[in-house]
Amino acid sequence: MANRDFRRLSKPWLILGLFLAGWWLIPTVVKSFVQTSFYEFQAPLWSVYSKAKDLQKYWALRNHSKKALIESSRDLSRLNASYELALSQNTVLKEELEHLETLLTFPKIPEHAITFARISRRDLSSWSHFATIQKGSADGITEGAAVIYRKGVIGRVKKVYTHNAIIELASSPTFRVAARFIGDRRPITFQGMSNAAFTTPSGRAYNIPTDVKLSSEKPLKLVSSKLGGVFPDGLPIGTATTLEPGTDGLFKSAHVELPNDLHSIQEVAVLLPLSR
Amino acid sequence: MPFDLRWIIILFGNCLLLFLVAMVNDALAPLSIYLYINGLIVLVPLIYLSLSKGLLCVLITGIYSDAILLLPFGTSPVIFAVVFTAYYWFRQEFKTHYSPGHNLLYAVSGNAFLLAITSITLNEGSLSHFSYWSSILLNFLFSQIVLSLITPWFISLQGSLVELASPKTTKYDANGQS
Repeated sequence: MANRDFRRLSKPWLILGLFLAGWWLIPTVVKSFVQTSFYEFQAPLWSVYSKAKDLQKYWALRNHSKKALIESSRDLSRLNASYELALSQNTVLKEELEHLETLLTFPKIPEHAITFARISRRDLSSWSHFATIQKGSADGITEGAAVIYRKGVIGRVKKVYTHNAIIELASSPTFRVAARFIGDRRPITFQGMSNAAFTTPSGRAYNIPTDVKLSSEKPLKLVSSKLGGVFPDGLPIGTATTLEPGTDGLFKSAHVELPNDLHSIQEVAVLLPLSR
Repeated sequence: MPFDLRWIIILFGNCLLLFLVAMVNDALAPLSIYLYINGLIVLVPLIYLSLSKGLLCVLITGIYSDAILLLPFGTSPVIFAVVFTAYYWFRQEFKTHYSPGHNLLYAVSGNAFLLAITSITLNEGSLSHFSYWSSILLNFLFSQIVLSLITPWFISLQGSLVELASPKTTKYDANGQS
């Protein structure tokens, strides 16, 4: 009787042990295949969800008055005019840069092809922050590519599927990038950080030289550094507001505030390196 | 012997719940709030399925959870299987019965355990950061409140679907017998 009770009570644990042993023995290639299959199986649902959100937004905009639409169109045309002016200045600067590179035999700055994509879904847990875009390997997206938007760095492509790609956001605790302060060429490290509810996305900057001074009244802008090899030099990341002594006493660390709209962006640009 | 559809129906219900929760999390992203209610996913197979079919159901749900939540592959199946087995053993050892109060207690405690294990496993060096734990605590409190509200509804929904598919369905008692 006691033996029967013991067998009955230990049966669940025995089965669990067998399962865990079997799971450990399954080849990695099988696990990878199953993981990709499950992801690709549910991926079209997110495209449908994203299209449904866009349709909802379209019908909401249709209810706006003509006056509101005309005013919005007027504001956009002013913005377009300033962008066109910036573009023409950019072309002139680019030609000047190429001329100087040739004259002084400098190594050329890496160029990128830009592909725009729409975010279909965001997943912002405490341990990682990801966004899914509606383009994948079929559109030329590669793993590790830089992802930016109008205010600077968004993140990096973490994983690529056929028609989707997963971006690791700059606010993710798993995101690290080489950075620097504006006006200072010395490299530092930026890492994302979990933020509490209703607060702005944030991160931390490490390995800051001890002579750097900043405060909440005089913050410093953090930009990307070309030393990382992923992001072009000078792209805005965030603003460092408070400085703290580092644990090793050699360097300092700083709290960095990221743009408020990082978690609500709809359109992003993926930078694909061009080989020269 | 007719094919038992119950575990497939419960699996479908769990996957649908995961998908809906992911949609809610997408909508809550601008507020930096995250909903985590995986405790409910482990509870429903415990009520309506045998040990083997329940374990199979939570395994496949765990694989789908890893795919939809973008977790390292294998995280959810292992954790779900451990919690399911622990609950199954507890039910056998202490001969507990199904009541709304017991179901809610199972769901809430299982959810807390799953969230704690996942947070510790996937911390990526953030264990010593106050911001990490404050974020988890706020998400935990929000998730438990939502879980308390939807647990009776979801269990009732799954029960109705299972009864439609198999009218002679009964719940498994503490000895694992129907």
